[in-house]
Amino acid sequence: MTGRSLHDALLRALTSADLRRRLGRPGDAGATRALGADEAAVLRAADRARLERLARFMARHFYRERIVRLFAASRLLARRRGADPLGVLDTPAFAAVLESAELGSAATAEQVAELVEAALQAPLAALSYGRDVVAYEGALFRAEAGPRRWREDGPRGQTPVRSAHARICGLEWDVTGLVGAARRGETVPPDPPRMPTRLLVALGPSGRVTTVRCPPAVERLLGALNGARSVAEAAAAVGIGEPEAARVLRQLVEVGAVEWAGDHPT
Amino acid sequence: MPVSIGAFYNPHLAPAILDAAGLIEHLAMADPPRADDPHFPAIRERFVLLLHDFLGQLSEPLDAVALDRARHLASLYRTPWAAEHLQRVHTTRGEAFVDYVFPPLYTEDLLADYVANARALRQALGLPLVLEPIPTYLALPVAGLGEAEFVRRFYAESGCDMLLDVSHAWLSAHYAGVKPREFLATLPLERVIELHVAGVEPDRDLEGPWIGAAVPDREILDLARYAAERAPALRAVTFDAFSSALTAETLRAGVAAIRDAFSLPA
Repeated sequence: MTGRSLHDALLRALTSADLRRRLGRPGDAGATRALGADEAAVLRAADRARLERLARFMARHFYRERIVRLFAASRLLARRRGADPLGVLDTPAFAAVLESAELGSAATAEQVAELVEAALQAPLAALSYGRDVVAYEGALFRAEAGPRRWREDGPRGQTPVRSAHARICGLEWDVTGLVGAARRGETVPPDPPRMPTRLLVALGPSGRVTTVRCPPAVERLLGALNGARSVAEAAAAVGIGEPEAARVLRQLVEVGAVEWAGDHPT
Repeated sequence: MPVSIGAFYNPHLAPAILDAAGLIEHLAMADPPRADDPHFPAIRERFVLLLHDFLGQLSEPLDAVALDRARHLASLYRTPWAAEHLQRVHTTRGEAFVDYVFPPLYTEDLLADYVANARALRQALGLPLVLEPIPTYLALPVAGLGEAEFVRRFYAESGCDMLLDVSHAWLSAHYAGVKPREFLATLPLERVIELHVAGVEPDRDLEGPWIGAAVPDREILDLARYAAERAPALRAVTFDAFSSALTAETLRAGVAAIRDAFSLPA
């Protein structure tokens, strides 16, 4: 065991309710397998109350920061109507989520997003575009719950695949201007135009969520990425030229909506 | 050399910060300015800016992308030194991470990694690098160096300077059960070039005090003076409050309290 391996184990335990539960069960082989025998033994001997408190602190901070940042417009609109969805962090329902939270996972993000969306429903009910603001920001919140790449990757493959963390968001109102204004800290954001809008929300490698408009041709190209087709085959499947498909795919890779898989050239 | 008194740049308070030029002499930059921040050009002209971003986790070598980003920020801010936390927030492979400052384990292997990577970052930036220790809430029952020895050896072996967060030191002392001044006396105060000062507040999850975006109380201010009197290289004291919930009143009050404690006109 090294200090590094023990610290890795500590971070994994702090971010996983399941691992902490296993650590609390003497003889549970799952914790030993996941963390290493020596590392699990040290964590079992640690101050368990402080470990649990620290995990709760980290989780509440983690989701508070994301609600503030990713539900910025919904929250601004709700607060103007006397409600703040951050209040969900103080509810028994959120406490129940923490009991099984896996920080950064899609499943826990889904649970938290549902709580926030439920809390926003009544305050934004009177706004014709309220549902779309919540839907869009809910997509941002869910898309953000993906893996981080903390360092540059090695060689890439040559097969384009749609990222599991990219999602299409279809809206009746174009709320992107409103959301942008709320994020800039404007206290009176503009009303959005009523305009059917399709947006592609994706998680970039560094954890940044990006939104781009998604015209039908781009959506078709994304749909053609089945994990087996090459760039040329995907272009042919949607009836566009390969150079055009390659250009669009490069942009989609930059925002995290598409990844390169398969063998890479040596 | 006179000591500069400053604060963090909170973009939502930019007009109030610009009004307080004189009271606030420098600004620590925790995040890069948004491209559409209308106040940043004036902020950049009026204040000394201190780079205090997440440049990377120094238990791992920084890659070329991270180094380029750090160089870009240093150039944008014209910063006299670059600051980073002495922290470890993600595992070696990056699959588990927290979203809040978190200290490493104080072991020989991690010390060697931090020293090597901090040296490399300092050389790559061509600037003094100052590292800010993070308070220890949970100490694991494992043989190691202890926080004070790790910190002392880190600065001695890396050639970095120290950013001492007085509240962090107070919290480390509190949770280790030692007196704050005794804890401070174990740190290499001769290497301190910047102090951070903020309030501590009760935290419901930790069931004890923790860092808060609050005006520091008399005990913290007295501790800051105590540290400053033993830090001959001290250049700056920063009110450490960076939060979207921070008000202009609290920002001004925090800076004014520090100025008062250091017998400087408010």
